[in-house]
Amino acid sequence: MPFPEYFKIQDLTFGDFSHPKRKQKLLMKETADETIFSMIKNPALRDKGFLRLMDIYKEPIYWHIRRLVVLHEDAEDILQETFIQVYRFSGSFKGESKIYTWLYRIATNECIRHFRKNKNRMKNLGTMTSERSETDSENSDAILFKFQQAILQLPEKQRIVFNLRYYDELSYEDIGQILNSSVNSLKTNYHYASEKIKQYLIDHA
Amino acid sequence: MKTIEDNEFKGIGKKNPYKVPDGFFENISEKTLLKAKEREQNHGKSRVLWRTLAVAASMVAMVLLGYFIFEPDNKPATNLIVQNKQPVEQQIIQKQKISKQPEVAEVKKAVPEKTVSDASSTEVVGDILADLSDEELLQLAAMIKTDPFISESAQ
Repeated sequence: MPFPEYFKIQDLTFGDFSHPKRKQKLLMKETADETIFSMIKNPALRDKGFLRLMDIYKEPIYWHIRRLVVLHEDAEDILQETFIQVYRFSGSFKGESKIYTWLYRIATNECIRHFRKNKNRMKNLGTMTSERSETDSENSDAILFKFQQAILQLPEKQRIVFNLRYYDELSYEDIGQILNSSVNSLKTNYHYASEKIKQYLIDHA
Repeated sequence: MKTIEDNEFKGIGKKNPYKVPDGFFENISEKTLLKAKEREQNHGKSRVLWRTLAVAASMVAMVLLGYFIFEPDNKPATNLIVQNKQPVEQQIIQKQKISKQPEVAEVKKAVPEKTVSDASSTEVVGDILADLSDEELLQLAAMIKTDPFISESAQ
């Protein structure tokens, strides 16, 4: 079955703090994704296909996870767990959604599972962010950390929707496939999240 | 792809404040692949182990089931009790029989005349009564006492 030939260009920022402008642009070609996935399903080419898939998606998936869980160690574990599941259960992917929405969905579910397991730690995410800011950043950008703290104060779903829309620039349809939600509900979530973030920034200015 | 939402936080941008250890992204792919293969191997081994255990457990269950269904000594419990009693408690049983003789006599009387009119029939009844156990005799005696169909003359 021939796959549709079209390109989807996405601007994705991977949090390269030393560069003020957006550095990386990924060209996602759906036919390339399908080719890579057929490699993974082929036992002879499985490892090669898997490495290729990781090369393309490891950074966006990592940053999506990192923005939710904050700590690098947790983000690394969840990233690995996400791709291990892709490796083991590639057969269960039927092509009903796009591959990257499938990847984001696995990663998001792993993050949610992480939140459940570490409820107490997740309550102090805002504090963790401010602690990290002193050790991780060379040029402390106060507004940037306040922005992150504002996002981390949001309820779980609003936080995920906001990140996927604002940082990953995914369409509401794609986010709907990731979170199994309707487009209208996601728009509402995003709207409330934005309002709360603005209010937080005003209150803590 | 610019979105409407970009204007809302224009001054902030989309940078993350978090740092990543050097070389993290270079090594993570191979590291993850190794872990995935290891997990798959371990999962395969445990699956074989569980299957073996399941087969063994079902075989044991079948053997036990077969044993209980086709048990060779499948006699009624009372007979077993009587047989077990015989070598040791025979004297006690004999004593009990003697004390229950009036009740046994009642049982004999209660048997309708029609069925015991002949001497041979009486002997047959006697043999039948002799074959009954003590408990059965007691039950029979109790039944006769309450039986409305036995004539007053018989009782």
